[in-house]
Amino acid sequence: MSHQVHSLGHVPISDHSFSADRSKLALARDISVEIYDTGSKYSLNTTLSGHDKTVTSVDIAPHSGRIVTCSQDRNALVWEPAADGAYKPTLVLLRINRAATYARWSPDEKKFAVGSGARAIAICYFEEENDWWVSKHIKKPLRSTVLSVSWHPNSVLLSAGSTDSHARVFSTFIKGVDERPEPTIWGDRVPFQTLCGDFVSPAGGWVHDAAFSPSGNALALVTHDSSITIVYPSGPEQPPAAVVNVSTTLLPFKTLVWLSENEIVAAGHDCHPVVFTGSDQSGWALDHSVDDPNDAKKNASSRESTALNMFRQMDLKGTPQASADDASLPTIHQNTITKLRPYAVSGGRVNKVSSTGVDGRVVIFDV
Amino acid sequence: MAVDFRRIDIDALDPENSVEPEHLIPPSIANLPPLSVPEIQSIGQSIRGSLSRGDNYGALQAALDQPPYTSSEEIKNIHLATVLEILSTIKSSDMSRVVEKLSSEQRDTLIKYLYKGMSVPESHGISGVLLAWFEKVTEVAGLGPIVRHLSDRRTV
Amino acid sequence: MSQSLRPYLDCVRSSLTAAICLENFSSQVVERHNRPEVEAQTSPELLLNPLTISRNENEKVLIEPSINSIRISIKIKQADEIERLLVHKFTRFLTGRAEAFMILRRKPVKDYDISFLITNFHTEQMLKHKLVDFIIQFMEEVDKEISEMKLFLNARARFVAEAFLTNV
Repeated sequence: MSHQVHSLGHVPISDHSFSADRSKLALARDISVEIYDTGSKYSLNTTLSGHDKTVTSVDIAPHSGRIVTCSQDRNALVWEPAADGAYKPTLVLLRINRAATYARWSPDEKKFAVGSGARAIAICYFEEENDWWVSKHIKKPLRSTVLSVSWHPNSVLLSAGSTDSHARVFSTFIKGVDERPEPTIWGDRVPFQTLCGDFVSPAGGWVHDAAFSPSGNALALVTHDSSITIVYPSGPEQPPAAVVNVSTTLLPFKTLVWLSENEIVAAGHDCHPVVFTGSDQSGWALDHSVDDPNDAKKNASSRESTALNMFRQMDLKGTPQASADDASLPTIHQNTITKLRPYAVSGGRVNKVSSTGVDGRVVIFDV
Repeated sequence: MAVDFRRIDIDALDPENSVEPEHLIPPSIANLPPLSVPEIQSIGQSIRGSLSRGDNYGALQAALDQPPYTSSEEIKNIHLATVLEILSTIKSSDMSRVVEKLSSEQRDTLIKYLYKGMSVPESHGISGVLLAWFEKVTEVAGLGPIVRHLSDRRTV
Repeated sequence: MSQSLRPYLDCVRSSLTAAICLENFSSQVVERHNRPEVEAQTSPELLLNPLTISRNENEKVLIEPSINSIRISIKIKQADEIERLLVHKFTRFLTGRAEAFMILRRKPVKDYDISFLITNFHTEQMLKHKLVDFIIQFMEEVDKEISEMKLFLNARARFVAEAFLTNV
């Protein structure tokens, strides 16, 4: 398994997004967004600087190529690609008075959702007559900062994870923008801001990420108690058919991606992705780790304890013996992985995921 | 001006603005009734009975299975004393075996009691025992129980 | 009592590794601000349960974690008056130069001798496991340093007294 590693500086990357053909990569770094051309080596194409404070999220819409970015300066911007490769920002009226934390295009690309520290989610859609994006807010049961939002395949249901330890499913149906969706297991007639589900992990903990399964019939959440919870709803207004929780012995996860209906990959403070497998009948369990630090430690060649090495160590570090723990970690990522995104699909299942982290590296893992 | 309007903390008065302590209590234990002193003492007595019979593992299991999450501080401290007594009774050679037989939830609760034990001044005599238990649990269960103790609002 | 030192430090190391999982979090109380939530203490849902690890009543460590910052307070062993004075002067020396330290807090938390404040910006610039190594090493060495200082102090005092009091 060879993983592609690209070290692009040391500034932490808060979010990344590949274009649909994987030829462009957008990285949210500090107060600007960098667009790279991919290839065997990633080279910087343009920098989008429209934000005053840290950019927290970036998403490229697969079909239209539009980029939405949001930042801690309470703004979000939609960048339209122009013919010459430059990007033109369009105004978005978010109307939030705290930082924006997460932004994602809906699957049909007519709306995007922005989670914020103002205890609200802004659902934004384009208004033709004024040429700007306006927003409708979902506020009601949210009591704390929204850490992540994720769309259901029908572009109406939205899951939100928040620091009040709840993962909630809302309906974001906007008359005039959305067509009436098919009834799903989450609910039938769902006006805007209906709460379709509210879930917690048994040991509590902030919900760092939540995502719908590829069919939309299950919801997975990763929480700060280093566990992953998968919810299978049975019907609207009814308790779920199954809530499966897998506690791990690792550090908390920050992000997750569904590889197929029965596999999830999650990554976080342990700096390497971990794959879970299971189903609603047989339960879920941790399957294997990708880029396992234990493997790396076993394979590390022991340094020869020659006199030359001893003096070299003394010269370098002042102590005669080579320190057992090197300054670098045995995993590819040297610091927390903050985002995983599906990169390539084959045979109905995602087989490559791209990951970025606080160490400024972009790695494409084979899972 | 009767009211010093410049110094009113308007955010504190806004009911929607903050997470009230009752919202922090996880829904799984929200309806658990608080125990009373006689109830907790009878639990303690039955546990001590198991201890005197030599059933250390059973006593520990019983103590860790239903911690008084929703009871008052006094009740929690009484139960803490019971748990500390069991932990000091079990011999160090038995510790690994006992920890391996515990379920993952019970190990999480054990770690919570270890931390609570170390924070209470009365237990300073047995810190060595508590640290030895801690080492055994982290050998088996890794960092998971510690992370869960940090974010779990169900405090012992 | 070096026997119980190893489990004590291992316990602190595991607790720190678990608690130092921080992320960038913009304040939800003040707009456009980013402050350590463990110091602000304005939102109870962002604070995690504090951990106390104690070896005996004179030596303990308090770890207060939150979503973007962690505060570590250490109580150093002070057996007699001289050691209390030495610890006070030593921590004053360090806290006076807190900027160079980066993670040191200028005032210790009540009931403790020295405090560190590590924020997500520190864990972004520095490696987390190295920060934990540093804290552990600090705890090991501060005891040694205080005893060394006490020895030198006594030696100097004896020398001065002898020189002063012997008949010239």
